Amino acid sequence: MASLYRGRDRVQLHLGMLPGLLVYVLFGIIPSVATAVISLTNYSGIPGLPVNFVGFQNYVQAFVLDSTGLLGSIRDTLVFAVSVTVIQNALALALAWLFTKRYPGRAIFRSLVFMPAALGVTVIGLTWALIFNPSGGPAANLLAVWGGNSAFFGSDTWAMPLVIFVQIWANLGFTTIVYLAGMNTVPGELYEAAKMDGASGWRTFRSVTFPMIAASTTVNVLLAAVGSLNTYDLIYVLTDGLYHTNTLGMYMFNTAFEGSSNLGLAATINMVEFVITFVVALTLQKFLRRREEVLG
Amino acid sequence: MTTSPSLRVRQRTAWGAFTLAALIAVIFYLGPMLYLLSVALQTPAQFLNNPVAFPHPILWSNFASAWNQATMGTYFGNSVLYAFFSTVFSLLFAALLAFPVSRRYVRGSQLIYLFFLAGIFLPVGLIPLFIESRMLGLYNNQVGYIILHLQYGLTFGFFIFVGYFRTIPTELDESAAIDGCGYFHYMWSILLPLIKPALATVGIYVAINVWNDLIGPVVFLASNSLYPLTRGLYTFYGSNQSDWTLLAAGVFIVAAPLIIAFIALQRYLVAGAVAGSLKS
Repeated sequence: MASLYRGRDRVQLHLGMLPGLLVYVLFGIIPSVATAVISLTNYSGIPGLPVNFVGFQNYVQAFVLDSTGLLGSIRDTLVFAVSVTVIQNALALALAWLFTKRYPGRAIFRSLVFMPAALGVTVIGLTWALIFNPSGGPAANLLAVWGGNSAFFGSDTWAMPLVIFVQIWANLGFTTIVYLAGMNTVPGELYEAAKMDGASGWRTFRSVTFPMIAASTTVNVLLAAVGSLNTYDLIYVLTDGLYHTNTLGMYMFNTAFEGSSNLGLAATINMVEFVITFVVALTLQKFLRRREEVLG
Repeated sequence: MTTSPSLRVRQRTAWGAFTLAALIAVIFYLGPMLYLLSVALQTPAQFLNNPVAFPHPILWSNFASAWNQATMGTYFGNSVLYAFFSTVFSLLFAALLAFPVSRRYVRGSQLIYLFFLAGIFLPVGLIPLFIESRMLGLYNNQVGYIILHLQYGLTFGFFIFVGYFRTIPTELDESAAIDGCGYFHYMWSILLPLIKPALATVGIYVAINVWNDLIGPVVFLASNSLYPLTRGLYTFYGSNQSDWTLLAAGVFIVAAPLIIAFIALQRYLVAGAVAGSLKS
């Protein structure tokens, strides 16, 4: 087979592969691995400053000297990621189930829910900042009906739940589409059988649909968990990590690119983020795959 | 995505499901967009007193003011440039890499595939990327910004194309070679047109991804004149925090092409969502 391309064609075949490999090594592999190396240096964002190898000094800084900052950030990350993963999947399952029914406008409703996939964090973040404008607007008016008021994204109690809400709002459509694709592969005979047995809608969902879409659940839970553990772009727009929304990604970003621009310390925070993501992803994957085997 | 025929048999119009789906879609998804548009058409005076009411009088000039004050023309041009070139080149590089690997035409094909597979589990190294961008002269310039955005489309495209090329019979390669069709020519005029559906799906995903990137322009760009729409809008927000009618018009200007693109390209996005999720 390999002899199909000879001479100039063979050169072209290899030449064509070069840019792709180069991009992958330079901008995929090297940065990925280099984070660990930079976490052992005092690299700063200011050009011209000397760079020294400082051993585990950044780790001591993060875990001991700044431990309240890091622990708070880990807590924020876990609160955010667990809430997003659980609620987003529960809502998407319910919504996908609604979208398997037959009624007018179904395609339009589905499109509306999926639309944020194209909008991006800037439009999404600013739109919700407008709706949750503390000095007037739909959210403030609604809250005023109950006699309340809030700074919303500028409030210690409300910022995190709202950031979780917007993150779910943005990704619900994607998760729903994946569940819907799974539900559409469930053989109709199973539903016929469930109906014959007189199973209720909820019973049918629990005993037929949900076990049959185990593969979609695995994908959705993993994507939501890994995605939310690493989210900071949306948070950057909504709160910039203030008011207890300082996820590890946000903490890393602000340490690297705002104020002190301490790249070495930021890389260390990034390493903590990687390790947590890795452990969570591995554990979830193991659990969900085993679940698939049991159900399949 | 339509309901499978077997499901359709037992279904009558489900009005309960209709009500719930309609409420969620209209209140939570259509509502925010309509409110954004409504505020964009209001006078500052109305916004202060009664922002939730229908705009009266309708103030169309917010759009022109936002466009001019935020210099959106420049940002828009940059966004088009960045999204277009990083998508085209990443897809081209991905196809040129995926074809020999998919066919095992080169030694180490399996190794390259595994090498890319391993990358899925590797994290994005934003800080090293920032340092690299400075070392390689990619920081704060347009070509550099495009190069720094090739990686995403390359990997996503690589996996989709390796699978897609397998559906094209190898006999085609042979007959092209016998006819004396050079490899680059064969790729450009035969193979790429054949994988058009895959190119469209991946391309649209990549283009939207690059277009919407906000962290990239914050980290890799410093000059206002190089900003894409995302960072331009964000900067505009920073300097007009209280001027919401103007801001809403700005957000809407940025959102409108995305909404139109979404409506036109939705089926590709759905295909990409399903393909991307099956990959992992």
